[in-house]
Amino acid sequence: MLSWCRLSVALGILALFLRTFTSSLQKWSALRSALADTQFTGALMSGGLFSVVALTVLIVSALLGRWYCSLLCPLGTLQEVLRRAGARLGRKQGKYLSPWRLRYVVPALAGLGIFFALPPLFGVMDPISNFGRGVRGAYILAVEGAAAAPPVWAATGMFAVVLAFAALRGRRFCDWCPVGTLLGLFARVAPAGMNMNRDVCVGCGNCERACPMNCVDASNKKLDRDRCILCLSCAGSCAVGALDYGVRAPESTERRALFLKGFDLLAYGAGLAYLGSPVARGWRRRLVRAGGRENSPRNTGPETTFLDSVMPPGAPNAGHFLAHCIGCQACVAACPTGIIRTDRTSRPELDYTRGYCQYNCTECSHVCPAHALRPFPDIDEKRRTRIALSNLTRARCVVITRGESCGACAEVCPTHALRMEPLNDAPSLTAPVFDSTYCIGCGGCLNVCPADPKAFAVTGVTPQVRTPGMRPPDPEDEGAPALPMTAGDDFPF
Amino acid sequence: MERREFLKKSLTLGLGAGVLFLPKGLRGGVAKALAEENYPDLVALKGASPEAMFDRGIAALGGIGRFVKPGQTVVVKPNISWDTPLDGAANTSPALVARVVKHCLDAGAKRVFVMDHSIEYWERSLDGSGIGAAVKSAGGVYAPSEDARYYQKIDLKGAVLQSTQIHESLLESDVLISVPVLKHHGGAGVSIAMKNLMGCVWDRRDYHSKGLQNCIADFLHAKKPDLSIVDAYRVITRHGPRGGSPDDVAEMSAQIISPDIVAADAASARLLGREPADVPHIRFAAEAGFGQIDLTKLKIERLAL
Repeated sequence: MLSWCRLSVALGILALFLRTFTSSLQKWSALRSALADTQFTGALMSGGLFSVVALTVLIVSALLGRWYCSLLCPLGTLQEVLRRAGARLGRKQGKYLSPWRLRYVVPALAGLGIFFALPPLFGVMDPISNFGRGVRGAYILAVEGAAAAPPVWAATGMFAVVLAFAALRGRRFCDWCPVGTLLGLFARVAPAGMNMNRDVCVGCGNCERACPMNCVDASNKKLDRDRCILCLSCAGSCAVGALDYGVRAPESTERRALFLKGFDLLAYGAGLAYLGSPVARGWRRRLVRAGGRENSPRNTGPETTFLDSVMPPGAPNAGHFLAHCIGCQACVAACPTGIIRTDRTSRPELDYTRGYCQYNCTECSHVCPAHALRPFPDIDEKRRTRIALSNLTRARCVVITRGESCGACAEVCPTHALRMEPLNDAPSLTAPVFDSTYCIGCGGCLNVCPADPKAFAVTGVTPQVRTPGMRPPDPEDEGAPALPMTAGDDFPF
Repeated sequence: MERREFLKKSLTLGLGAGVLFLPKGLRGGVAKALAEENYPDLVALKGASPEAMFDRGIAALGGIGRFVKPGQTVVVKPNISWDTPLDGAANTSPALVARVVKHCLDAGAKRVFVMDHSIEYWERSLDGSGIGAAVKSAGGVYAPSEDARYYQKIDLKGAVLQSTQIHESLLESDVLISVPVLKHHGGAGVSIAMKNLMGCVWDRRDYHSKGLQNCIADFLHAKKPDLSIVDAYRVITRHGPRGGSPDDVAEMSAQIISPDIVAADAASARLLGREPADVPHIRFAAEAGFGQIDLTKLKIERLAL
């Protein structure tokens, strides 16, 4: 009964994750944001130890066990779904798998990503990133097929391997998961957990077959507490009620065991304190600089540095962005125009061939759980923030080259950085005039330009600075004079 | 009875009697032609809310029933291009769109679709303009327009536009009503009923690369609206078509209604202080025989409310 309740909740959360990660409709934006915010890694990146979510997950794990893994993790639940499907298709029965001695190596390597504040390294094994990359990758492959970019294929491939293992062997990814492993260390000392009553157990092995983590050993009548995610499957499968969740009977009262427990707790505390310390932040900065994204062949001044890609709005600067983004793809899923794509390290960048950044839209910065994209305090701030800089090559414009009316660029330019002004040699025609002061780099001009090659080039910038906003009307602008309609009852015809 | 009046009446009566003896098909046509003689070619209104002006103006044209017959499917094409608020004047007034939809339904239309291939993200434009909610409350249906799969390729005999993809609702409907908002346009000069129809096609960039002015006029070869209702209540007079500053918007409180799209565009261009013949796409459409550009040749009813 309890195991079914747990599964229902987990499946519900998984369903909502799948829905909101495959649709950018506005009705899902609040839910998508709330779901993304429940995830441990995003919370850890956004606020370190000071994040309420991260702290809560750790405290709950240290007191009650790995409920996070059995309820909130969409990748975990998805593996269980596949495992059940695999059982239908004739998968071998589950068997206890003793923990591999080197099983801390991969999570530890991933943990180095956190230690050195290199989210992409961490993101390779991060559960929510794998889920997001996989689901978005599968979605894009379904829509675009073979035309999808190599990073999409890579992400989807890894996802497929995880799911294939799940269908054949259960939640195998979880043994390598850095979040699960960390929470397991906490669960090891938790006063509550699964208990197996050796006196009642008849050794039938039902629990061992039911366990998606393969952490119940029926022949020896024991279970691995750090690997147990409290899915309650074993309790549900037990005919004699030998398994239940509650305050755990102490396994050993030996002094050595108690000492180890204390040592564990001390070590965890020290590790987490490190993450919140300025030392970690220093590493972060140094490594980002070494990463070379801030190279500036076209640097035009002390303020703005050009990037080879455009960061989504809300990334204050490249350093902050690189140090926080875990590549979870929440922003990719949230973008209504679908212009956020992922680069080789699964971090988002804007692709203006697909559309352009909407003037009044803050979906991506709103949803980002890691605060790699910081939420804008208000919509006006978003409208003023420069994420890139456009550049007009007038010699390519169709008005100049072919003498045709156009104006597509000025039409979409939300800040009037581009305006149509009469041509000197053909006053009936208007051609675009560009004032970079007001350009926010939304990419509209580039996207709609009909010229081939395009008359615009848009380059990403760091930091994302504040512009003066809307270009004020020029008193001498065309159309300004008093209109014939404003006075009297007459019509001008 | 004056001699002249007597002659006029006898002639009318005689013609009326003559019609009775005509074959059935022709009879309807002549009767219709006679009836349309009495309606103005164009109604210009000012001084009231957009929906009140429409009520009055369409009555002067003989009611919407002249254009929409019971059981017909109607497409109302407003401008829903931008995610800007009502006073930004970049989109058609939602109240006017709702009123047009309501008139069509009251006239017995089976379904009234509203569509626009909006420029900014469709969901935001629909919400921001207020047209999404207005159409829903009036009983109309917003036809999804944000994806290429809703558009079908057609061939047409335009000067430069030989084929384009137009929205499926236009192919499946009986009546098309263009409900633009009047505004300045940096590229096309003005944006009125004809330019508004650019939102019925999928590939806008194609227009820009083939020649914007010609393509705007060429669209009429594919589908000519049965009625054009130009919302000139708030008008962007510069930095159009998106505007952005309150200084760009003039409150004209006017409206132009005409079954002749070229006449509607010509009269509206004058409201912006532009000579119709100086706007290439209006001139092209007139030259192709789609309507009357010379406003002196039109029977215009001017109403100040």
